[in-house]
Amino acid sequence: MSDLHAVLAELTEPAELAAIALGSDTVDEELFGTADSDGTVDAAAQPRSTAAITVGFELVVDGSVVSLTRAMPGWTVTRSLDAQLQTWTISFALDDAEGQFGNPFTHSGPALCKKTVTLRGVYLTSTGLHRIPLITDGIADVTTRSVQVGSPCVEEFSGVDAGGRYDRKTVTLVLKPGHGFTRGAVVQKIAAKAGMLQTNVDPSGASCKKEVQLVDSDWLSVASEMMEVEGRTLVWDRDGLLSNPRTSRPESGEATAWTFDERDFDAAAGIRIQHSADVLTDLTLTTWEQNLGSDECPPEEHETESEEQAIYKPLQETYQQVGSIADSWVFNTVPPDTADAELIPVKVVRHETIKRCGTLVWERTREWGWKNWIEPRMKWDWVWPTTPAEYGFLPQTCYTSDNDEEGQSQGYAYEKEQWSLLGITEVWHFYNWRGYSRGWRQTPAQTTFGGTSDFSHQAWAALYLTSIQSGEPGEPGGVPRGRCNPLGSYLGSVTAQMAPKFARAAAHTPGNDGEGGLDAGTYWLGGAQDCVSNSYPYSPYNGLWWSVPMNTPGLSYGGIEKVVPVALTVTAQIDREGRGTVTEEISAHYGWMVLPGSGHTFADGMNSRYDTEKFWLVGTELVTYETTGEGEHVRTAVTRDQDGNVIGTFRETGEGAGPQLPMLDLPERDSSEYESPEQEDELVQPARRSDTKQIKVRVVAEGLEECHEKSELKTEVEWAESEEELIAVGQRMVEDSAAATVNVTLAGCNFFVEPGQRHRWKITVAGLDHDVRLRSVTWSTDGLRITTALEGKAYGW
Amino acid sequence: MSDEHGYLFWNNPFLADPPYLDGHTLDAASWPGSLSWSRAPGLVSVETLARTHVLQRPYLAAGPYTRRAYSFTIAYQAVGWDDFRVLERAEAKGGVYFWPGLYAAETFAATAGSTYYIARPTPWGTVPGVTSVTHPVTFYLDGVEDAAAATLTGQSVGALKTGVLEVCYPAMFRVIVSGVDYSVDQPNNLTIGCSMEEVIQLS
Repeated sequence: MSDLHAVLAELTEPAELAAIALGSDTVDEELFGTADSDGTVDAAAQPRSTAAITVGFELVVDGSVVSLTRAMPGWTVTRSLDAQLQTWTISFALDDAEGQFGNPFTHSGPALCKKTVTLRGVYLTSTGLHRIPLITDGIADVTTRSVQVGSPCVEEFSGVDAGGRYDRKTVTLVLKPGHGFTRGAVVQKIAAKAGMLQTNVDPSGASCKKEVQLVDSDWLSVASEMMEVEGRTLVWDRDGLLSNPRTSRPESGEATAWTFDERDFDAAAGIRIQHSADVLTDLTLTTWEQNLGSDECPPEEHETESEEQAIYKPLQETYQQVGSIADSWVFNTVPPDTADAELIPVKVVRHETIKRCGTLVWERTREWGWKNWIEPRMKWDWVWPTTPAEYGFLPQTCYTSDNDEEGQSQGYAYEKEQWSLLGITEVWHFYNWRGYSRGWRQTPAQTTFGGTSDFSHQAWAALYLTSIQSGEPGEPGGVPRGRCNPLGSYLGSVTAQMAPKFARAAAHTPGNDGEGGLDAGTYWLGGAQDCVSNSYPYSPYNGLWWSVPMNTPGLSYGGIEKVVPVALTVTAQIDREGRGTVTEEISAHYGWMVLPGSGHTFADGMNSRYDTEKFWLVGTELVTYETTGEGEHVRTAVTRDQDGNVIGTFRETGEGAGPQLPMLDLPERDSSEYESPEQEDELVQPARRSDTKQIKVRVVAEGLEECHEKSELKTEVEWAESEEELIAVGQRMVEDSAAATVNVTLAGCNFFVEPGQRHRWKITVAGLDHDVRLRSVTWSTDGLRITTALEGKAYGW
Repeated sequence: MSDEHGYLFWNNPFLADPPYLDGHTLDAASWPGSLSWSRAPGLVSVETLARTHVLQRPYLAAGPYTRRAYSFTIAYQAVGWDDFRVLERAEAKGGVYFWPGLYAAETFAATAGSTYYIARPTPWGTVPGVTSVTHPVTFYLDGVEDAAAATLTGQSVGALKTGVLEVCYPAMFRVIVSGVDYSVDQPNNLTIGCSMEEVIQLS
């Protein structure tokens, strides 16, 4: 029975009509002319004479025209701006399991498989056959076989346009901030990444600054959102190429593709014009705008200062001890300060930073306060004019609170406290970046970014990298050879602290003191010698020396307490796996210390090979972060002394994969997406990823609120670049919501109407005489006639 | 086809023979019975909102301007066993040839050198006594009879000239029997009514 029914299916009238309406089995491509358009075709598309138009569909699968003698009614092609993919449906009589194209059970899906499906509209005119593509290189997505008693056995194939071959692809495309391409050009590039080297996307439009970062990402939604900002959408056109037709109110200079009036509309199908009261009247749109900067990253200096005031009077000493080259003690009484305590600054803290392109490369905190600087009351020295030479304690000029040569009071440099610099903390940060060294743009061979002084780089280089480019990293601190963090990532820092210090000196140097006394002139401060030479030896093997700037306020030289470096820490962070997280952190700590050895004995009994403390490597710390398979990491810190002996180990567990490695945010170029260096120079504007500002606009349609309830909407428009674009987007949204939806059916068959076209439609009795943006078109056939149904937006407001 | 008195006359032997169905020619004694046929128009007229009309017809590739299937109704008196059997057999077979003695006229937008296809085969060589001589095809080019306008082989029309080509030919219809009525209103008088639907197929 089913076999018989299958036969009957093709024999019933609908089946036969379909065969008639849809063509013949003997199509000869060479038989007819294939001119796309001429006057006769225009007349066929918009028939207004008594001449009958001859129209039909043509189906081409994998380049071969398919016989339509088994075709059934129900063929439909829909093109719409509201659908990402355009759709089609075709039906064939089902005579046996193989059907028209094969058994879907064999293919586990539509037997058309991945074959290209092209559907054309056909006009036969006096000038020959004219084929107009409707869907090109489409692909089937569903097949449905229907077998039912009393109905024809039918196999229906439905599918989409060429977009079905690309819409699910993922792409990787990164365009740096300030790239300068138009949105259309960006979409073209995205499309190329998805495999569409040729498109019909209009590349015109404003230059874009926002970064595009697609990494194995869905591309179509992003590209579509970009086009929405321009009042366009993305669809595959009838030639199978990606295009970006307009979706919004027709523009003044835009050509009108078709003008239709009562003579063109099907009376039986009727028309429908619908206005909605739900109209947007108050829009608030937000986005962020990419700021532009400079390629040179000039220093951006910033300074904050806090001041603490109190009722205070600087402390004063009572006596002046007069210095002598002989063992004679003289004290002068200091006239007392009779002034009252008053409200004066007692503490000032100044914090300074320098950023380059938003990246902190240097910071310094300085503190001022009242202080009287320590001065030794005696000095072990040669006594003048005793002959032969004789050593003894000689009085030094200073201020003190007792007038006793055996007194225990502290000696000071001044009779009362001075407004003085009390401490400095200074940090230099380093990043791996091409073209930079010592904080400035250098030759490309130099690779560190950050810091603001020679010293910091010397200290940095001493510990970390002597030559990144040569792949020979420095030795001390344990930084592995040949390793460097990814370009743009953090390398580490140098942190220095300066504080008042009175250096320790050896109390005994055999052979120099005669009787176990002190060396001549040993009340010098560590490192003070280099103040004079102003040189910066930095060899990590010999210790770090540091000078005190000669013009530091509140500081004097020669035998008194000074603000000097007291601690220096050089830290390197290593991203061993290149994942943007720290796997190792190596720190080297420097400070003043008595270096063991022989030749000099300090007051506490320590023997040293030097007669003073030295600014030297105190110890190192190696912290490792090891990820576990449970989303955690183990942090292990191993502390060593200056000789590399382990003095402590600490382990703890934390969440995640360890600390993130900070990344540089600099204007960056990627030449790979530009056709030529000239194009790159023309388009690119320096911009940093994080240098953005939020923008917000409000669009209020007061004219609409006279007739409509206020309707608010707040939304973000991610790809808008400026306030002007936000306003334009808002206006379009209001206009679209206020536009009428018009549905009409053409009396003729027009294969040339296309969503996105500007039309002029006139139906006087309905009050319609407006510009229309065509939104969708559906061509369908009942087996005899091909119907063209249109939906458009008519903009009255 | 008619003179000034309203009588039909024919250039060709139109309806001049007893109907032929699936190898059987109805007995002449039972004929004439009655025969009627009809088809939907091949041209669609669409009324516009301006109360004008647009005419549309389907594109048939190498087919004629219009091609629509016929419906036939025939009634006759069975005078022989075969007159009864042929209907039963035709209904069971599904698609059979029917030659009621009609001519079809199909119109093509012809280009010289191209091949077109008429919707039905001719009865030549199938129906006894019907040949291209007894029942010839006639060509008209742009409304004027022109025997040199085309050739007909099977259902293939070879256009020799360019223009609007009309092919007027004896048409044998492939039909299915969609209904049969039998009645006996007096002894030995079996009347058979039959409806048939044409099935167009191209060879």
